[in-house]
Amino acid sequence: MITQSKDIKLNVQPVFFEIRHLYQYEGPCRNGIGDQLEPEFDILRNEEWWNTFNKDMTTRLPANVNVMEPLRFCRTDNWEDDESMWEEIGKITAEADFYIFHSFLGLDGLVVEFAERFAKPCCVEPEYINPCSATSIGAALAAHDKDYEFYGFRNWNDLSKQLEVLRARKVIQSTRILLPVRFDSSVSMSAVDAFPDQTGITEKLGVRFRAINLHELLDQMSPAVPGGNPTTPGRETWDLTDGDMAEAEKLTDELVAGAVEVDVDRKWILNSVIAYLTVKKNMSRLDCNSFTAPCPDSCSTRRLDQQGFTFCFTHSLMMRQGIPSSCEFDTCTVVSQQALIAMTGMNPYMGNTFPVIREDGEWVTPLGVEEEDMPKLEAAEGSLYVIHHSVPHNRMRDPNVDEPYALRHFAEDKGFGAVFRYDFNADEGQQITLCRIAPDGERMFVGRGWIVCDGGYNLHSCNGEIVFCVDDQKDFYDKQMTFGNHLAMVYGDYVDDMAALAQSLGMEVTIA
Amino acid sequence: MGEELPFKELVRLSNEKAERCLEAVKNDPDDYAVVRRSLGEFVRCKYLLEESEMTTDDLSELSQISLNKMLNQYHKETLKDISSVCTGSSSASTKKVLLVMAIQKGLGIRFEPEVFGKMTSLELLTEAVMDEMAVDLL
Repeated sequence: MITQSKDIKLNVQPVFFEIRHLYQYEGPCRNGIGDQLEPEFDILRNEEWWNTFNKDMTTRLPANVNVMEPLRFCRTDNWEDDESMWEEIGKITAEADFYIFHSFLGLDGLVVEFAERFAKPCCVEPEYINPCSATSIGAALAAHDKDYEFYGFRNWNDLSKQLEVLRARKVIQSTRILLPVRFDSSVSMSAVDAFPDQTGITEKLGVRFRAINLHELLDQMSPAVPGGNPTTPGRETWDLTDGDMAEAEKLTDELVAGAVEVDVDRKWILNSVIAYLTVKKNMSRLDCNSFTAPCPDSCSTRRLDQQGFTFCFTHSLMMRQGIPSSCEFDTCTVVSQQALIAMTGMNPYMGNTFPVIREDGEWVTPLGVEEEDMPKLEAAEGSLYVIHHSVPHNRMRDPNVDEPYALRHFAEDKGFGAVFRYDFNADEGQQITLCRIAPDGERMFVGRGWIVCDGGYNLHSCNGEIVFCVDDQKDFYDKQMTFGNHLAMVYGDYVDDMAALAQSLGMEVTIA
Repeated sequence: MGEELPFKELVRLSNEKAERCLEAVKNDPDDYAVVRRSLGEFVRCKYLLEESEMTTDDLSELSQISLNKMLNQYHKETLKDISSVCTGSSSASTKKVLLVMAIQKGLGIRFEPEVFGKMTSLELLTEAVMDEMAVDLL
């Protein structure tokens, strides 16, 4: 099963602690007039607050949060805390990702004890609902020096934003990348800036790396043969079935019908679609939800030439569904895409990213910009950047809306390898957010830019690019240096959101 | 309701009217119309509201309307009454709890906490009171 970001919810467990005075008395922790000092008052007031708490849990939290059945526990002024309370709370700790407590005077210690016992992320309701609790509990836990994850919030909006961040963190922790390998399972022959230490990344971020054999994958892109595939003789494998073929034909027809231009033979589109469906089948059977494939490693097998496809189309088709998928075995970009998808709900693009330079009056950076768009570059000279790879798609502006697209081919000579083209001139001025998690997994780069013009829409091969401007080209470049070449991006301004996510992941954030 | 009256006098007169409302309930506990009208009037008196201010059936909302009015018109007196930040015992919810406790005492009945919790409107309050008084009559 391919569990996408949008399928993952943050499980929030509300816990209502209440205090009951068993006798009528007044003093420093309790005051009031007449009936307010009756034990009955506490009983009814707690009921009222319990109802308000329940209502807030169902109406105040973001939609991508799964609110679990609230738990309720009572403490009296006998101060006896039954161990069964902790046992009951302990039963649901595997499922719950986050706890929201209702606390009150005389109850904050229970929240501290919860954190000590279970070390799960938690908070109390926003400060104004019960002033003093959050800061007290926060300081008490901070004194332990054990990185307890306790949050305080001024209001529901702050709380909701943090839940969005924690959900995104959970999405990243749920990332499982399918990696067809020929040589090295960490770094391929290009994109040498992928995660070199996958075990370390699993330990830090929870991301899982699931390698499969590249040749076995390529074997599966055709119908089964008697005696099994060459790489796995005698074994049953996940080869192309009649049902797969029918699906491939159907999707090919749909993609052709939906394109404004088709400059590639249908047979090559079909081959690329078969590759996409084979990858997707393997992702599903291995419970992966993201993908990257090596380029030189697979290209030099000569089997892509033989089978007539490249992985570009797979990446485009994945990204346009909100599934991370990167060129060149770049696992850093896959996780960066996942971070963007999880935090923004937008569909990403990715590519080689570098400054656009003019020297001695000549534009020396290789670009696919059409002549009529060159004046746009003149106007923004000195602050231009480009993000470039043959994997655009047509659902970047709105994940649910298909924009016009063209289909071309990657291989210049034979004409195989279907590729998407999207005319980014349609989105001139659009703000974009770029991101890359560094190969050490300890840092996140977040950049902002604005689309200037398209490049490569009319070209075949490894083209397709966005020329964009940044606030400070040199600053952007200097900061990018220790993060890597490929950046992932989405439309919109999500710099602050990504910075919040980086902080939640324990990463140092660099903003350009 | 006379705004020129001193606050304490206003409260005293309103409480007297409220007590008469509960007497009416006691006299006709089976008559829905009487109980509903009397409890509505009881709430209005206890919350020091004008008839035109009874704009909702929701008890929490009426508590808030009352609290806002008191803070607006009798800020000093109300603040004295509600400012208990240390113990958190002030708010519209407190007014609702005290209101229901007054009904319990006045009518000699007691609601289970869960019943109280569901008592969100004048209509539900009326039904709960009639149910409880019917039990008492048995």
